[in-house]
Amino acid sequence: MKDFAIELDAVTAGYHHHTVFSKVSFAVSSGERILVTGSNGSGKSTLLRIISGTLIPKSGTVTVQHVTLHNSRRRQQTRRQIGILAQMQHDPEIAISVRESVVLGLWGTRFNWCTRVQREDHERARNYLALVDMLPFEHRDIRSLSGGQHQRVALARALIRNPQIILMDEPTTYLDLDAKRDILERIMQLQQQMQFTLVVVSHDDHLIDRFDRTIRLEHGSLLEVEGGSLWAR
Amino acid sequence: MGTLIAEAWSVGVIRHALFGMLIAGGTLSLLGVVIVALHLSVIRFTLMHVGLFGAAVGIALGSGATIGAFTAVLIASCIMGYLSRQNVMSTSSISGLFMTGSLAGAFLLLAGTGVPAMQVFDIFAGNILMLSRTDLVLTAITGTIVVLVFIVAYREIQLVLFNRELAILLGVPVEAIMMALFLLLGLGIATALRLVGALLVDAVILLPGIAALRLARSFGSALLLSSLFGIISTAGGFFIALRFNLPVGASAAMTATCLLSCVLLIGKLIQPS
Repeated sequence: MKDFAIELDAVTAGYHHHTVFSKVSFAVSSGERILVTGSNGSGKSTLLRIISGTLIPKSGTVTVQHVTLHNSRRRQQTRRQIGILAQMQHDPEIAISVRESVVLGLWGTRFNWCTRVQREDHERARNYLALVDMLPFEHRDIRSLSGGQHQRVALARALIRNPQIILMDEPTTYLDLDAKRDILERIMQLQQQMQFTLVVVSHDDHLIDRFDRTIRLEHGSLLEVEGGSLWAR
Repeated sequence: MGTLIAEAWSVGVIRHALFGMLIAGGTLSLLGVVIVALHLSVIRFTLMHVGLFGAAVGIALGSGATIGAFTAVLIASCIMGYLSRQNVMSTSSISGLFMTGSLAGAFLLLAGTGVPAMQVFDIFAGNILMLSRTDLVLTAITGTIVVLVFIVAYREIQLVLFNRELAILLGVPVEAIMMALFLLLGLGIATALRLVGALLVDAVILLPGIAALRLARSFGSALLLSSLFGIISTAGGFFIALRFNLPVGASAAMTATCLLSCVLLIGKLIQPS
């Protein structure tokens, strides 16, 4: 039996009465690097929400790390094994230091409503900042960073959960060519070192050759799976 | 000044008023940080108009302008929070709907029931010196709720303000937090309406938050500074009003305006070139 990190079986997802994609099926092996492409509104980010268990599918089955996400407890448990690199948004209105922003990535694992951030969480954040060469910036306000630096910090935030799977939403958007190359290089290097399963959502087709497989979402359905032997419906 | 304060202190109404202003300034001002960070300025402006409509309804029903305004603002904040959560329409469209509807409703009610307009418009000016012991307790309860929410959900609110998409993907109940913040905002505005009136709610809630965000280096320091600026604005305004025999609400609003101007100026001067 193949060791799948993620399995989607006939999953239909959307918001309220609007269906974003329907009957999508695919599987991702452990340690595999998958690129999900598609135009705006095709459901790429929705797919990440489904895998992370933060959006419940209208129908179908989602299995992550051999756990079927059919109740909130299981979704919450599984989420602890997932690291997130969210889409870069406009600068927040509140000031936040680089280190504190990395600590926030631990929400739901090391702290939540009941438990607070500990001193060792800050130490952990420093270690991951060092991993992406951002430790000298730990006290800087995140709003003062460049786009590339911003994404390196976001990478540290995703890694701090020590995840089995990392989901990335448009990690190269708004970056210039050098910064794009730098962040991709770092992601791939760290993936090889740590062997986590990597699912990257991007509208940038130029990234295709860096991944094991590419999945294309178009008009609410999965159109093609390139370069892979796994099944797709 | 000392004698004046001592004399004023012996009057129960003035003591209540000062406590009310201090509690509101120190606690409701925390909401200003959220209003600015989540761009909810239009919502708070809408809730002020809803307060006017509620006052008209309250007077027409004989329950009083304040109770009417308080109830209307709370109900409206619940409905607006729900509509915004359901993505029925954009926040600005919801605000437009409520603002226009409230104003139209208020004027129609005034015309239809013969309620004296000036009585309704009192809600715009507020009357801090009419604050009863019950009002003071209610203000303290509201303030405590606001502070407790910020203590319990500190990191969760910080995550929502930092990156809402990240918060969703990490499993933070963003919709519930947004709903709670809408409700708190309604509660805070309704309370401030009773103290300083609709026109000057910003003095207690919004301006301290704006000033704090200009100087703060973290979310925690933004909350602390906002609370401090809120206290300075309300206490400063109160003593100025006492000393020069001026309206309390307007004095507090002017103090908050001067404070924000100073902060903006200082921020400009210390900004690295």
